[in-house]
Amino acid sequence: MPAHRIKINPIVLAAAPGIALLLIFFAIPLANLTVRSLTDPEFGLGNYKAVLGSQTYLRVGWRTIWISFLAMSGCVLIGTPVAYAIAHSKRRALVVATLAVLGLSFLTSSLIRAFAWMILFGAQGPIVAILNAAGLDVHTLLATQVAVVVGMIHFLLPIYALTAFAGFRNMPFDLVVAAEGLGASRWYALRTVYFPLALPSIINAGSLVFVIALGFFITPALLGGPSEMMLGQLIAISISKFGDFGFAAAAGVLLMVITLFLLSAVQWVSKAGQRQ
Amino acid sequence: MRRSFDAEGWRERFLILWTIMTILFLLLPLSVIVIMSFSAGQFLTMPKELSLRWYQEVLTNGQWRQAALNSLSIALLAVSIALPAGLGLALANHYAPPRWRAFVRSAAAGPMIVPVIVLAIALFFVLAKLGVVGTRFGVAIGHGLLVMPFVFVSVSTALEYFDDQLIEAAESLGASRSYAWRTVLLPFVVPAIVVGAALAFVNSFDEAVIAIFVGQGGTLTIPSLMWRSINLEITPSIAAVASMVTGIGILIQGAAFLWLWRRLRVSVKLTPSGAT
Repeated sequence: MPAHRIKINPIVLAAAPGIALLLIFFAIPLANLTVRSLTDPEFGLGNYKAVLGSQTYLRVGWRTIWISFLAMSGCVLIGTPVAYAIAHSKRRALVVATLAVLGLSFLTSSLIRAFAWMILFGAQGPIVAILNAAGLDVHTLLATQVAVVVGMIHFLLPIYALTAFAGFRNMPFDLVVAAEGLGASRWYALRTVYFPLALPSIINAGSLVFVIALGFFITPALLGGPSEMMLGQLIAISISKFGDFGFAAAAGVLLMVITLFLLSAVQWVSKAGQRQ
Repeated sequence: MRRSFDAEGWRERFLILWTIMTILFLLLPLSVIVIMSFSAGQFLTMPKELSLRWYQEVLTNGQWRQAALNSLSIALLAVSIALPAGLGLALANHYAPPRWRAFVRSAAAGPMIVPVIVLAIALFFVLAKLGVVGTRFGVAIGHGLLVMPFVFVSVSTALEYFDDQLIEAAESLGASRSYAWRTVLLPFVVPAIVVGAALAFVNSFDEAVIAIFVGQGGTLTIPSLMWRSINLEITPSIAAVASMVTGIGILIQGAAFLWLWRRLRVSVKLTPSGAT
């Protein structure tokens, strides 16, 4: 295709504003953040030692991973049947309604959704009222791990279900029907034919929401207490409360590196799986 | 035969029930907030009688009005940054030699992959040096970067369906390359541009983390003022704002998607009759 050679100039021209934006306000700030983590207040690994050497902050790190894992598991458990249903159901009304609700929830602000759960779980909220009516002595569900995980699942579920749906939609459902025709039960056919093919989509969508969960800041800040603090909050607090910029930078770099490492590992694994 | 049919009916009914429960779970929190926003009392509880008191309070409050104005101008500025950048990168991604594409795609998706809290503090440091922290312009730069991938993804998806032979056909009929691009390619991607811009606009309007960090106290948007108010004192006015913001967001995005859908239907209908 000789046409490509002529087009190279317009390509660079078209890409220029985007490249400039990404370079000046994405690449440079992230590089600057990394430099800052190593030099503020003095050159060295002091900030990383402060993050990784303290029992308190290590606990925040492990908790971040644990809560993200719980939220991801919730999404997989709730969202996989939903994605399966809308990928193969013939009921148009159900499919369109579900997709519309998933899409609109996905596009609703995380702050507003966390605020809504804050009210629902709060002392005057309906959930406490119901629990009290059932005879349980509960004052508030706020500042609990349950509240944080439910709020996070609520935020992540549309992302999980839509991503898994995009994968499931391309699955050859005829294979399940064929297996049934050969005498397999529906459940056996799903387990042995559908599930192995669907697994990459589930892993892909699950790891996506896990990684997003790692960076959460607003939801745990509103729904959790000090003992549910996650890494994103630690970064936010060290800037706004303590003004410890070097520490915040180091924690931010760690969060970014973990995120990028996990994402590329999953991509590598799924590519290796495809090659097999 | 009979048994497997009954079994399938049972399983399908369970899946439908599961999907409906999930829809309710997703819709529940916001519905509660919307209902509570019509309360007449001081506290955010289920209203005994409906009133528009808090809507009136918010709409006449100078601080909320200023925040709305800030959010609106930041969102417009962010879209005008994100649009040329995302569109250009999508075109470059489409026409670049294959080995460049992976690079363009991962660069353009970058702002979506890095955790927002990390991006927010990285931008905070750099924009502080440029002296635009606490200004509308500073927040708009951050938002422009953050919402650019929406334009990129939307336009690149449309371009995947574009038949490049149409450009060649136009050129062989005597059109210049730029004329062919303007009259053949541009009308094809306009719906994707509109949808991408709508998503970018609403996401900037709704965005809290960058608005909190880059805006600081100097420029309060609706989400960052909401964040402040939630941390100070929760009144039904926050619920009224949340309801209005969500309603406007759904209207804008819903209208964009509906328009896209109708346009696609029209073009699908026209193609066969135009061909014959």
